[in-house]
Amino acid sequence: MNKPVEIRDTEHRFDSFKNGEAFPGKNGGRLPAMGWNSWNAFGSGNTEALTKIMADKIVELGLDKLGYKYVVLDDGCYKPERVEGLLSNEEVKFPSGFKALADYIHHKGLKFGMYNDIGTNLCAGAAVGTCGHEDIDAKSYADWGVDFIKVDNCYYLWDNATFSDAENARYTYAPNIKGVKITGNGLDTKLSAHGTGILSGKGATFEKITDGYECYATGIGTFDGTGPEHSPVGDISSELVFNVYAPASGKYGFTVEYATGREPGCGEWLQVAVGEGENSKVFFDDLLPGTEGKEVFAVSPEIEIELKEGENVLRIMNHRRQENTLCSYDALFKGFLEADPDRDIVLSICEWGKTQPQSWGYKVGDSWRILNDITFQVGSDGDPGRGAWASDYTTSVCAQYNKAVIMDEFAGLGKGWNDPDMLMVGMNGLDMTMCRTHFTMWCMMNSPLMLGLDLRRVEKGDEIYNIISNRDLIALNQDPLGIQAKRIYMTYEEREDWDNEPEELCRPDKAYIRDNDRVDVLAKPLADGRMALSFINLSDEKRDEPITVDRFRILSYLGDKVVNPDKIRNAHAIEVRNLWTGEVKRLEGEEFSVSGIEPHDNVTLLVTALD
Amino acid sequence: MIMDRITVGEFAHILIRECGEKPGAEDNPFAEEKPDAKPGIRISEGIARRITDGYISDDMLDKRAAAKITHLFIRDVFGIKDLDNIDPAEKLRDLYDCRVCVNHIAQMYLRGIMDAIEMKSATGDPFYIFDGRGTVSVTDAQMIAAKVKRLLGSSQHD
Repeated sequence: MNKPVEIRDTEHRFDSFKNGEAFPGKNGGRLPAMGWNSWNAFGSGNTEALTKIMADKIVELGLDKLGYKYVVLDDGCYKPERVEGLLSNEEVKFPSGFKALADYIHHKGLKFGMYNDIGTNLCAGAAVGTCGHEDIDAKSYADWGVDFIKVDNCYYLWDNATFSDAENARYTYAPNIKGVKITGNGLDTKLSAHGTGILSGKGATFEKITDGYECYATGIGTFDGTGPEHSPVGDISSELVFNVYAPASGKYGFTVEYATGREPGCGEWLQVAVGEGENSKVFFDDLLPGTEGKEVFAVSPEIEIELKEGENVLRIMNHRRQENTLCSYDALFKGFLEADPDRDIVLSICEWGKTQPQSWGYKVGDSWRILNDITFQVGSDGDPGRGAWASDYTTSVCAQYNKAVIMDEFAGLGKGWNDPDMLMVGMNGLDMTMCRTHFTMWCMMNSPLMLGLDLRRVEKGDEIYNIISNRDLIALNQDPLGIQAKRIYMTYEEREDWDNEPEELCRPDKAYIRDNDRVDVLAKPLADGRMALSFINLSDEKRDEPITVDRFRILSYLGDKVVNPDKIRNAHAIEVRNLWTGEVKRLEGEEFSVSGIEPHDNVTLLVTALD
Repeated sequence: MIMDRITVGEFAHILIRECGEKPGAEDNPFAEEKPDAKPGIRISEGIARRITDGYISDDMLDKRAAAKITHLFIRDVFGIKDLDNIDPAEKLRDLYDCRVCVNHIAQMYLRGIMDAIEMKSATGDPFYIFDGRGTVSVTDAQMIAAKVKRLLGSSQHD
């Protein structure tokens, strides 16, 4: 493989991402997965013996009865290379092989999960990635009895992912564009990018040539979502668009004046399309010949396009970052369907939010990671590892939460779930208040609940157990309505510098806020007509002032997601039950108000309208 | 100039040879099940396998692999606990480029076992990178092993 796959259909195209149609064969009825994953607990040092102990503990603690079903082997379980083209178990750590371990786990009434990668290697280094082996690997997994597969993105050939060639950016960005030329049917026009072209979306800019006067468009592509810098809401990519008037319907010659690079912002791969949405047609989708530098411009070979008489939208773009990654996950997805169409395998997409999978993941996957890892200080046997409450990068509860909390519109039954990574409950660095709020956040946001601790450290009735076994919180996560909570209020709104964003992004459910000095209020509609409300103090200070929301605000944000809004709107009284303390109160007025929330703590209420 | 580069497996054995194995040869948990081999061989091969986890022994060593191998050696074989706070390692601009190596690199850098490289920005300001893809020579490997030996020596006196 020296190039990304040729895309001949429309279903893998960017312009189909918004059609809401998952690929045939996807089981769209799953709620967020619950289970245990080896990574946060043991890193790549997990073993068969440890895994069996964890499975035993899940049953001993009764966690399986609460929904924790999947026992997932993360990275570090394979031999460093394929054996006769096949995946095989690392024999010291997993001496009995994966089928025997799957049988052990299934015998306990649990489900068995494994890990791989869409690149050539796994993140920990083993040269056994699924790239080019999707069908044979899917067969192996089906033979072993795998019920869940987490698929990573290291060493990916078509993006500058972790361990990939940095120059793979050539595939993910369009070249710099100075102008285009269109000829045919009496038309012979040259259009400059700066002046005639329009940059749509977000990320691209016009730059002036160094020591020159002319401008060019650069940064045409999808920006990288691995780090916490960018909002997942709103535009995530950009195009250079020309509105072209054609004198007659027919074929035209088209060239671009371009310069290539192999770095983020300037690549070599060009897509040319006419029209918008699912009615668009792609006329070119390939590498252009490299130029001497990213400001050394050349004219492309002529590309044949079709225009209709009158106005046409001509798009210069590169959506391959998303399309290639979708194609790679789809190859594995289809491999599973072919290997065993009746096998129900959960596909956990783990490309770290790099390609903005919230817009395409639903087509093949059950969940998609939204950022890089929640911790890099994973544990080992005897060391619980370390997590953090807040951080500048992705490695904390708040960093993951701040992004996931505004992504509710991407999640749902029939789609899949935003995945802010595995739970850190029980790791060093988080006290029990933080752990309780971390668990609350993940439950309210319908995130997969994958425990990441050494379960030998848990006993029935202890603090950790009481968090991870809170039936009321788990019931919110697993509520059959499948609606991720929406943030309906945040104290940040009271700040003077609020509303410096565009209006559509200047709302509590859309604003990407990374300043943790605030209290958020989340609302989650439930299948039985009730609601959950969570008041979350992310800050390091106790919040004595009352935090208040009323029924009107709640219902106006949740809209038709509420099963019976009139019942809540018209109720004469409301009963609220605190899901951590069990305290029950009856409220007569319109408002819900909580004060005195401790640092990093939450008050989470089950709201029932009384007749 | 041709670098005196070494492989992953050679590096692991330099560490083991220079720093020794954990005492307790007969019941050493790393001993390989090779009945015909001497205990010392069984242990060193077992340790090498453990600390080169995921790598092919004959692959050429780079800095990120050296960081991982060295970290696993001092943590898993000698039981040296990780430093809790790795935030100071964020001065390495490329720390997060390698998501599964972050802790390995941070631990080795903060303990002074592996060094950063000073770079200059376009404006002349200095910044630091770890350069995980950078090469490791035999000399570099021996220096790393010497620093590990010193760490292990000082930790025994703690």
